[in-house]
Amino acid sequence: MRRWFDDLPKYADDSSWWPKGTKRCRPEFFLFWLGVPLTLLAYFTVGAVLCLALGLNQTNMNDYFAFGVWIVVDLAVIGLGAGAFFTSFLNYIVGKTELKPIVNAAVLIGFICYVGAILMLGIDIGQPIRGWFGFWHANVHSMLTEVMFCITTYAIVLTIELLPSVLDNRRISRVPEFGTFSHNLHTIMIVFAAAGTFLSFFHQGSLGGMFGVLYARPFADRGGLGIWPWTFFLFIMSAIAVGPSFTTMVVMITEKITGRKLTKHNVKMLMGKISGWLLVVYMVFKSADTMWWAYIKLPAAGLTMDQMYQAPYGYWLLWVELGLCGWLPALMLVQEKVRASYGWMFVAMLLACIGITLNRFVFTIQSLALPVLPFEKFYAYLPSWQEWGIASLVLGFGLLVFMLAYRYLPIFPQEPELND
Amino acid sequence: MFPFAYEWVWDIGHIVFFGLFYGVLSVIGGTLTLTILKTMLDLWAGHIHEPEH
Repeated sequence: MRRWFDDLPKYADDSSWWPKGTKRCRPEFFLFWLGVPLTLLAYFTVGAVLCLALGLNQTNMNDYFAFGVWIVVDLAVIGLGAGAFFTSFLNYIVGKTELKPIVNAAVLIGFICYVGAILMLGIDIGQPIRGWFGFWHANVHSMLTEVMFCITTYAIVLTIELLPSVLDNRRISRVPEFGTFSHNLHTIMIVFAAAGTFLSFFHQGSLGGMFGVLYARPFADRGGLGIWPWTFFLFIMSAIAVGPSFTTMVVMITEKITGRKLTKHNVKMLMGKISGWLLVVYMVFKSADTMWWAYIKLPAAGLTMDQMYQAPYGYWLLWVELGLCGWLPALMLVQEKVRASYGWMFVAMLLACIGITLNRFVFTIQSLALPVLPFEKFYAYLPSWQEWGIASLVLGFGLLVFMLAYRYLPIFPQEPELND
Repeated sequence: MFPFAYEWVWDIGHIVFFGLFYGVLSVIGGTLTLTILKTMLDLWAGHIHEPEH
């Protein structure tokens, strides 16, 4: 196919916009592959129009499942996007400058995750034009209000953090105003990194805290410290553990697709090491929390584990989340031999990312599937095609922004040196 | 969101929640404004940052 494109007349040349010292595919080839995200966005548009015009009866959500695939995807991408704030925190505030070559990618991925999640939530709330009600009539006793405030504010911070990369584009930076503004933004970035860390800490925690305070939902309800249930801290720990893995994994996938080296392997290994040790810490606390919940909390309420795990959401979910996609990747990533291997490190990071997604799935769906009244049954939930369409926004939007950013922005500063 | 909104109550919840929220917004907005002002001053003084490429 590449040869077919090469035979076409060269009518457009955008090479002066590419980052210095890099090579990109021909514009025709690029436009052809843009069809993938545009198709996903078209699928989203159909689902969104149906849901906005006809209502939530287009979904398989009901009185039992007030949260569905949108919230699962939302929680998962916000957890996976935590690589942005944590990598920025380590680079700008802790002074781990070895991570500098991957910070731009982490910020870009975080931006995609957060903006994608916010756009999807715009459909979830039913009437997007009334989205501002949550700010104007804020319920300060709700964890979700805090999440909404922090996510939207952090999306602004991510946009500001991404701005220098846009202004550093080869052509844009020739404009003196933009080049100077970008330089000044670089020098003050530590303030935005600190603000982002503060905001992320609280919204990652409150997303978990929201489940921990559901005292009528025995699957999610937990004890805690003060007003913060244990899930508040577990969600923060899981996000900062898996965020660096997701960032590195996306970089590795991009390397394989483009056939170009983007960051040195030692940078990826460092990200893997950070992720691995944080995952071990998370797994220790998560395992302790699960044991306490299973052997103390549930029996005290007259419940058993067997009641919590029923088909199709059986015990296999617990073993996959905590074992296969929890302890296994944690123990793999702390091994230097595993991190030295491109393939094994990718496998470990992929498992870790699946683990956090499963965690968000069980807290969202399984919590609601359990019967809480005598006349209720154990229900299962399967999203409708319209719901999948809206959820595909994150992937379509993410691919579109990432493809454009990879082509035109200096996201990977080590790329020219590694591909000489 | 603002003290003049009818549901606003001067309790600890509103003070802490909105105090932190407006605090963070002030830091972000203030830093961005200062950066824009510094850029304008740099440009007027002729201190233009040349691109490295």
